[in-house]
Amino acid sequence: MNLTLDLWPGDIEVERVFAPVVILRQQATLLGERTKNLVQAEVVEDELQTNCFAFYFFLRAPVLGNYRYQLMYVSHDIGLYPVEIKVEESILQEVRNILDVRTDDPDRNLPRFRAEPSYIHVQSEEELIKALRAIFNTNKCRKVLTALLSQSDPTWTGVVPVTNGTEKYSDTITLA
Amino acid sequence: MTSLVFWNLNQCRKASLIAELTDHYNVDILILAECVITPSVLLTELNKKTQQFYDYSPLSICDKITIFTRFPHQLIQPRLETDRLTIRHLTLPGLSDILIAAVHFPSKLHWNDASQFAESVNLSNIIRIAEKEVKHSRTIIVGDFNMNPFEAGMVSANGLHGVMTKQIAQQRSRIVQKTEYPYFYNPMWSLMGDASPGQPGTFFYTKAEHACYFWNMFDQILLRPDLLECFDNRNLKIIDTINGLSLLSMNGRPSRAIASDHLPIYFELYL
Repeated sequence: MNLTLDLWPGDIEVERVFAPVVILRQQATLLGERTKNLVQAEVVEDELQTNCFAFYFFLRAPVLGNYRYQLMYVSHDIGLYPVEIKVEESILQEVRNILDVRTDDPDRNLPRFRAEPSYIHVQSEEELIKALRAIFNTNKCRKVLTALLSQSDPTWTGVVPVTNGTEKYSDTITLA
Repeated sequence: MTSLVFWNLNQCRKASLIAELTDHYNVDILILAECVITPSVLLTELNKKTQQFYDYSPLSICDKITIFTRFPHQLIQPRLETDRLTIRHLTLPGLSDILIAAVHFPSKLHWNDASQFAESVNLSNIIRIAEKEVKHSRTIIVGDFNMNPFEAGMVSANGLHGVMTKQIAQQRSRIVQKTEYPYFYNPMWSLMGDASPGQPGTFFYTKAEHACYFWNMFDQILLRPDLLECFDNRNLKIIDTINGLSLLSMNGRPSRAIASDHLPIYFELYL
């Protein structure tokens, strides 16, 4: 007689959700491909963070002594979503009208221009993709990329255009 | 000996006064916050009075901190930056290399204490990432922290962990809740109040509320234990005059009309 009882729920195979770090790492890989590795992106786990999962997202220029620029700080709890994205003030200003920007302390009675610090609130995988696209397309992000590319290779003429192969990463996340 | 000055200019445009400062105090590394003078303009002014020409790193993308050095910028390359932080790798020939992190934290007008503390934790983590990369912890942090040395973000283990004596800092680190946190030594503790040499703080602020410190020590330098031997407290000072010109108003407070509402801090490192 088989005495083994399976106590797990019958519908354990739920829809697969990609962890934010997977999406971040894919975008990091793509940046290297698009810039012939002159500028790379790097996802570094915040190992000292004990309350949640948190990651730094750096832009990195290997030929400039591995110079790094922190583009964002992404954190979430065990449930993966929602996600909080902290970015610098200038980026926040650029995306404020298209993303869900919240303040740490909404009850604090500050004038609008002083409503800091703020973060981007992301509720789902789709919203994360939308947020990352918005951040990557800000003037500040482009300015940093241009500065790093120009100084890494003065003959650099432009980012490798998006190909069919990479376009799919933009809308549909696929695991390698 | 390497001499350094940090100054929050508060958008002061008096380039000639800054040049006077570097000349009078023989400054090797000039670190500025809230500098709205174009680097090329300031560089021209700084180099009018010296035989040892100042240089400026074109690589830096940090918006809030500007650094000029009296040696080629290749010897103090940026390693890691945000809009408010620049971490430079100082590699002077024949001397031990160090990291210099310069920061301008958000103002108390904009951020509450909890947010400033959270930002200190973030800064502490980023510095450790940079230290891991260069494989040492010979690091100084300097800047306008918009916090006093005794505030949570400056003293907490998971914040900047700045302690007031070298003796404690020499223990290198301590463990809290099974996590090890390295110390910084914060010599600015010793410069607070009337009994200290020089001015009692770097920034004066008064408001009609119950708790008011009046003088604040927002501008600070902190050193890792590995650099304690390179530092002498006697060579740390709050500058209140530049070549005879007082930076204070008639009531003895830092004057925006003269220069900035912050006073510069000067210190030396024997690398």
